[in-house]
Amino acid sequence: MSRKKRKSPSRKRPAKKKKEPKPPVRFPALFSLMTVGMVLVLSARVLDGETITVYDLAPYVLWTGSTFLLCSMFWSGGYQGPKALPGAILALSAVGVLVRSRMAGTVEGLDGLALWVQPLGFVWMGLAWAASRRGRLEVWRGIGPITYVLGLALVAGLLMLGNRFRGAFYGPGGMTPSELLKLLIPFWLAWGFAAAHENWRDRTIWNPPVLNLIGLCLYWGILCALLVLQRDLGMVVLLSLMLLVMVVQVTRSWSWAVISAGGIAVAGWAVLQWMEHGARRVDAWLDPFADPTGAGWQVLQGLSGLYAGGLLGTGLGGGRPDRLPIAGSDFVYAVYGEELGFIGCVILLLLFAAVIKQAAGAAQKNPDLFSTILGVALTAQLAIQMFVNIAGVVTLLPVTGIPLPYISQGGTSFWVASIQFGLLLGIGDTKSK
Amino acid sequence: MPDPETLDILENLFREDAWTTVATVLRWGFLVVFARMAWLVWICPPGPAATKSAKRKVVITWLRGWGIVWGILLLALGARQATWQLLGRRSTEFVSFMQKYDRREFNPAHGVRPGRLQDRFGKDLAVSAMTDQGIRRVYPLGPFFAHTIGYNHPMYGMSGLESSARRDLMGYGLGGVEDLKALGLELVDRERSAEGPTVQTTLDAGLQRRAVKLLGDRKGAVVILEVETGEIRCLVSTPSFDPNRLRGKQFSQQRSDAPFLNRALAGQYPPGSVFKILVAASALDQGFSGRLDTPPKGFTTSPSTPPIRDHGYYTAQQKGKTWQGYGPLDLGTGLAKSSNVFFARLGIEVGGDALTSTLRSTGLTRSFSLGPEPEPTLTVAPLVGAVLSDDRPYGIAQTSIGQGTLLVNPMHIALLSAAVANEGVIPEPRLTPSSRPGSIGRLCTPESAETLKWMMYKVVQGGTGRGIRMKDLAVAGKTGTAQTGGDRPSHSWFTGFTPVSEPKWAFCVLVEEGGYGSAAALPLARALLLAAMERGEFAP
Repeated sequence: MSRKKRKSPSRKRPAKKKKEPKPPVRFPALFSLMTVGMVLVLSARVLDGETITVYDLAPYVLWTGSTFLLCSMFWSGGYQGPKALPGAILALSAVGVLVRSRMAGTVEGLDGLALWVQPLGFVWMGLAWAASRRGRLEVWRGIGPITYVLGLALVAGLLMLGNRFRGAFYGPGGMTPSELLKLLIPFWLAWGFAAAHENWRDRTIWNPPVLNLIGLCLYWGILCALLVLQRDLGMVVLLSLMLLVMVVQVTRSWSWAVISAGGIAVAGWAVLQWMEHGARRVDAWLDPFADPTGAGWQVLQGLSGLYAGGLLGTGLGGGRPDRLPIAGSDFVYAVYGEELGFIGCVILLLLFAAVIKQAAGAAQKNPDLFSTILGVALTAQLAIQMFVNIAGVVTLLPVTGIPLPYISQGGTSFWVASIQFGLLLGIGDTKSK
Repeated sequence: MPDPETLDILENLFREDAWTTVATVLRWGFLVVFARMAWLVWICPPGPAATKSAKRKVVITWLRGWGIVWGILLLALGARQATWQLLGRRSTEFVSFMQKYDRREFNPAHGVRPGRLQDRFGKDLAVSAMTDQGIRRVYPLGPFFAHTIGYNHPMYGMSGLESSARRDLMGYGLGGVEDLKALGLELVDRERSAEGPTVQTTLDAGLQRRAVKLLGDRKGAVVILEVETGEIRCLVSTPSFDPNRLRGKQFSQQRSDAPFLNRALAGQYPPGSVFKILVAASALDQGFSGRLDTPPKGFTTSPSTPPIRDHGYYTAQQKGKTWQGYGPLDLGTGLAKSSNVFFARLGIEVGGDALTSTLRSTGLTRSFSLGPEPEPTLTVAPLVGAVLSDDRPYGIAQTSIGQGTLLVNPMHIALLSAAVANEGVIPEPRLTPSSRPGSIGRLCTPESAETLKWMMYKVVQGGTGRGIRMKDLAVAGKTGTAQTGGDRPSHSWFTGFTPVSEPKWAFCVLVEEGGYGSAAALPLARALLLAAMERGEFAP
């Protein structure tokens, strides 16, 4: 009976299926977007009284070239993952390139090596995809336990050898090696949860797998303690929230999320009691007007930019990103919102949500347990990064220093995000039956 | 490395006049294409979940709740962003910050001008003007309203009503459909020259000017308010300053005449005889109705304290005569003659506890603000030294004649008069009209107030306030001459209300070091009331 009922509406579907948007990478739209954007950005610079040279076209040329390279990899390799994911990632990267070149010359310039960040990132993405597609990711499962040790060594090494700047530790050349944790820790967690999946499955927080939980807490405590010592609270928040999503997914019980939310709040409060740097950010979040020219300055300047943009924005190239301190990394969303307005922000949020939806689809397309859990981790991380960064700019949360993936400036974070996208593409790209 | 080639063709193109139009079209095109792409990705299904094959038993699919959680989070983001990006004008602090610190010349906040402040008849007291440096506030009546209207200066901040009524001046607070419509229009066309609504005050510019001119270069204060509603007609403090010409130096220099001090609200003066109004009210509430003797040699509470004497004693002494004393007096005569001996004895009779509780019940022992929102420069300071102890009778006697440790400001005294005229209830003074008049406390019972009202009328009819008697206007009042110690002249007080049968206004005039109450403050009050009468204020 039930079969019949289900079948009858499905008969109507074939007619609809033809209408479904098919080509995932819409090249005409993608390139007209990039071309128009680049022209606007260049014209803004000319109208500001600067001269433009051939080199100013470099981001455009490099992005175009690397896009073709990447797409030719997908075509020749026969990509069969979520249809819209490559196109969505490319659109995101196009907007990122535009916003970053918009700030070149006015803020923290885009020149020399920084130009190569984006094309190289695409290469990493292609390689990560190729290395993980069609079940190849299962081979990499074995490096799980090593990644945790690597991550710890990275943080510890940075603590001992790194340079301190703006309250955090940096590697040589201003690199941020701790960004690599965003790759290493998901690998380790996915390996652990896949190995102990039978123990975790269908367990609530009232009935936890005690030994596994103690082990996890122990390892997690060491990692977080080192990160707190390094004053990288943003990373602790990001990775912990990601862990929470993974636990809920693996156990299929919401009890973890509800209870842990309280625990995270208490732990956060406790840590802030002796961390001046973080406490100041929280104060600036609670009342930015208490110290408008000091602690609240950056947040308020970002909000001023958003307000100046209003509903429709000043138009790409029409804003003044030079008015905003450290606009490139944490506050890139304010620059974007000033020029493209509230409407542009809604579109960007929609695109991000769409990318995350596609990535989530990729994660559950894979029949391998390890790959699926890794996909869950990477998807969750992407969503959390996006949310926490934007929430910091619009004062829904304190500023954490987490960059906006693919839009913010920064070499290491762009590459890490590229590899994550590559892995997600690979996880979704399974052999069709 | 060769010099990079400049892109002359593009540069020339961008400098063409027509480029602005092209750029606008391109910007819109960009948004449209971007929106289309995002939308297509959004509706494209990511593909089915992996099916449970024989080989792989377990596959993790996403829990259903994630979609809801994610949706709520995204909505929260958008809503929070909208409160700043679209509704930022609703936050006074935010607009102030942008006007001060945002150097984006196209920021609409730079075009948001506070509305006009007007007096009750529609005369402008503060208007916004656009200058090269942005918005500046201009005060057409400059020094006349410097303390009450205050100033709004990009460098020196805000004071007075400019600060207190700022929310209303900037047009905050959604009132109804019309406001929502206006907000919608504002969001769409980003009007850059928006001006907030006009705020009407209860002040009377003509009267205020007259009062300032009458005070001249004397230091002093004038308060005139409506008895029932508490609407302030006139609030003067001299010397003043010009809010149109503020200089940083003015704020730092220490001047003995303190032009920035609002004497009417924050001054601290011994009240002298005007305080007898409160002692009389307290006595009436206690049921006092007898007579007290006023011996010619004065009155004191112990041999070691100097006697409190009547004013007649000193004038008689100057003329080489002997003072006979008033003899036994009832309360009405004692008030009319302003007998110090009588009130010193009355104060002891009433007692410190009763006086203290009367002071408390007036509500003047707490500070309160006059404007729509709390603002230090419009806050009425509390009475100083309001606790009277029965252990120190001499202190009570001194305070009862207004020469003790108790210090007041002209607003307090004006409110005491208003209470006598308003059935004992102290109205809540206000600078902006309100539909519901409030009250801050009570001086005495309505019966006591009625009795005291006619006693104060007697002061004007045949007592120390004779000078203000007018043919067409029945005034009740009380003079005060407050000694300040040393050789300095006394402060001159006069307070009262008018017309007596149906009181409309209560007033208080203080002239610092003006001598007798009947010499400086009283004529000033008379001139003001005459001016108001000429304009038909008290016509029935």
